[in-house]
Amino acid sequence: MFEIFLGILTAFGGFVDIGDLVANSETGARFGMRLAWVVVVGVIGIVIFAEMAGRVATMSKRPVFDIVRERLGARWAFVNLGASFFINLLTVAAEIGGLALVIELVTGLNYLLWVPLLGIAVWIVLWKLRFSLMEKVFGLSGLTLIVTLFALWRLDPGLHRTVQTVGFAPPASEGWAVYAFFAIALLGAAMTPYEVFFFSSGAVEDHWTPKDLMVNRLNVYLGFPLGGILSLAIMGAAAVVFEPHGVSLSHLSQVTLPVSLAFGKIGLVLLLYGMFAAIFSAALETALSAGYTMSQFFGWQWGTFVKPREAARFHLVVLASVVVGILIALTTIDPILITEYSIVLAAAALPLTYLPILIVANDPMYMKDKVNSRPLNAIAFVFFVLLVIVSVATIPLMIITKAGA
Amino acid sequence: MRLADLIDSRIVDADGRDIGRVGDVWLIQNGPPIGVFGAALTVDALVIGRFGLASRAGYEREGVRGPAPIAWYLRRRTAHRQVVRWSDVLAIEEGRIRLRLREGDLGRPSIEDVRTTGRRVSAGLELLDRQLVDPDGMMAGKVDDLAIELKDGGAPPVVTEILAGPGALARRIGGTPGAWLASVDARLRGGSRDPAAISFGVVARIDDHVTLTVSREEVATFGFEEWVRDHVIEKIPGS
Amino acid sequence: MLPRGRERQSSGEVLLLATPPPGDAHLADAMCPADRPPPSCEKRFCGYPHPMRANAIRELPGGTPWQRRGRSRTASGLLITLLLVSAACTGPARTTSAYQSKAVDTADEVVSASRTVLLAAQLGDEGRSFAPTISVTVANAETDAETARDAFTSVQPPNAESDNLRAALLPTVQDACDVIGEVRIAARRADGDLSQVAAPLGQLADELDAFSTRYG
Repeated sequence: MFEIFLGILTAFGGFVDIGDLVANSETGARFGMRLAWVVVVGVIGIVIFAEMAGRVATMSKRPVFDIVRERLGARWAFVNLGASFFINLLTVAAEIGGLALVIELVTGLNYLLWVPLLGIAVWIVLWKLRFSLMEKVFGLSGLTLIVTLFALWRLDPGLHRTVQTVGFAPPASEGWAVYAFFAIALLGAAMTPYEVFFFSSGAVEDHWTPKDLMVNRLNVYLGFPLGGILSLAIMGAAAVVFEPHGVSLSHLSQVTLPVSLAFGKIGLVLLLYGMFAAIFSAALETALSAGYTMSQFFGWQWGTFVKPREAARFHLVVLASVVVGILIALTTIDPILITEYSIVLAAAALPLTYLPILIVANDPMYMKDKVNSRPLNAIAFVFFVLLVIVSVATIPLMIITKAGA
Repeated sequence: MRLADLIDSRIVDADGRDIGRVGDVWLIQNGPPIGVFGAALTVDALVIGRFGLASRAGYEREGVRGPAPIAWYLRRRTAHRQVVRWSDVLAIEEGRIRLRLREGDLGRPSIEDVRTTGRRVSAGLELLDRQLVDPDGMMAGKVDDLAIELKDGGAPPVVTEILAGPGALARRIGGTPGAWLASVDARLRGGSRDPAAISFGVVARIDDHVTLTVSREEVATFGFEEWVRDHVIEKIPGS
Repeated sequence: MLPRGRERQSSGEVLLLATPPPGDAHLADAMCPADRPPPSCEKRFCGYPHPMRANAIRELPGGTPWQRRGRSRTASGLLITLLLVSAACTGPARTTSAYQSKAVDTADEVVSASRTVLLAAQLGDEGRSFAPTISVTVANAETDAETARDAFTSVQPPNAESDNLRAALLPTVQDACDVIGEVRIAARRADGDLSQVAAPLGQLADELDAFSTRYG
């Protein structure tokens, strides 16, 4: 029972990463809550996707990229690998950059100084700590982000002003193209592919059996929506504080202002701690995902459940992805910009990973009796269509809106 | 020759008409004995059609329902594809396979129709891209390609080796990405472009993965892993 | 000289069988390493006629179909990259309306930065945040405001009407940047009473807001 509770809380606290922080607060400042529905859609999407991937991994003992290669074939899976790996690298860079920005906010010293140190710290944790311990420590610490929810309530008791801006269309001052672009960014921030690679590989690493499926479902069905509520709180806080004054968010420092306003220094401490932990756990997950995807595609031994010397290439890829992430962050490109690109491109790449999982989740040869139910298939198919539309629209919208400028 | 050469070759019937591409290759276990595996796999039939997501989705098998629209669409693409028995193949030319029969004479059996002894294995769906696992449960690579030995007198070709490693994979990926992968692999392996070959004699079993009877360290694909282990990972404390 | 495999032709079923044209003998040799006799080299044919094969495999001119597809993919990849890069650049303004929209964007940016600084200053004075955090917030806002100002000043006004627009906007923007700079200095010194230093920003932001509403 405690284990289940812990699992839900870990999923809850680990949901938010730099992408969610950036996407939700930028959107809140610019559109109020008019894109809140996208967060809801995104949470439903990741719940479906992660549950299916976890179930597939449990029943077939095969993690996502193994399935991707088997179903898409060598050629398309290789293209998929290239795209996913590249986006993964961008995400690692964004997460390390985000960590450095948080430390900059605490110390006042320029974030570039912290990038190498934090990158190395991420890698040392990966090298030394056991998988489940990593997940729990950082996931649970991320729970302190709940201060945002309380801050929103404090700033807007009863959420009247927040709810007022809920809508499904852009405000008069913005166009549909920008609205759609931000919607895609929010979707990509909620439905991060690395989360699914990590989740399903973790299912294989932890040797989940069909008995664990119920726990898996609880973690996903309860933990992720709670994380979604956090995202909405971040959006709401930005909407209440910034939107009426025409302030647009472009720095992590601005994201801290609403909580400071509500609770002062204590709130800020909780927020910074939570941000650091959540982004750190995301950095760990993303670096591991880089190793998982490449190893599972080429058939190398992977995993943190064997000694590093027995999964040498896997660990090399993880190390290389952290190094490349550090280097990308050190190019002084704004981590916020890197984050924005990584979430938008992640949204565009989703169908290639989603479809094989959806197909295998229906295959009795792999799933035995745990194939998708009809209602689930219906919703999952609708999502597939949605993801394809998003994927096709991303690059044109990026060009038209100049990446949301 | 390699299975990758067969797949995606054009098929030309007895009248000289182009009737499509090889989408999949069906194998059957009735060849000469080969090591621990038993009777070797031989090429039984070629399936005409594109070898894309449709073939790999597995909707031709019974019981796979899938989201209705996807299942319907992919089943339409794969159901009742024409199948060429190996005995109907006249000659193999560059990128082209010539048949004895005319297109209209080709049958459309499903893979479950058992006409000969032994179960048919679809190379594309059940053998290629499978994980190789050694007796200790460690992963040894993927089935990237298969080496087929052509026999005299029109006897079906025998699958002799599993080809693994980026060198073999590059050929199946094709195009610029494939060429790039091949050159990276060649550079890492010191110039040789031969893919690592694993004789079928050391294959114990094929189910949802391929189990070998030799440890992964004896497989040629281990070279890169060994190099990384010795030169990178071992140097880091705590490995 | 014909490849050795010719002797291996069997009778009966072999109907369509051609020996490689004489000129291809060199291809056969090139494919079959000298130290490996044909039987074990079968998987590459070595160019010699086999009962089931008609010709040696050779490269099609221009590359194989999948190589040719690869080339056009590279071209489209380059095109997409160019488009993406061009999306990130700001071009010159050639019409009044284009210049106007740039002016409005600049005003919006500076409003955003100014109000951020105002909020940060208030939080700093009320002790609701830490000195380094305030300092970083203000420094970030200053970068935003100055980048917007510099981007705007570097754009050539296309006509006299745009000149007027520039004259209307620029002083306010410059004032705002100056004040933000002063707040940044005071924040780094943790001087206290940042709101006092930042006070003019309220008025300036409102003016810029009005500009933006008027021309936006």
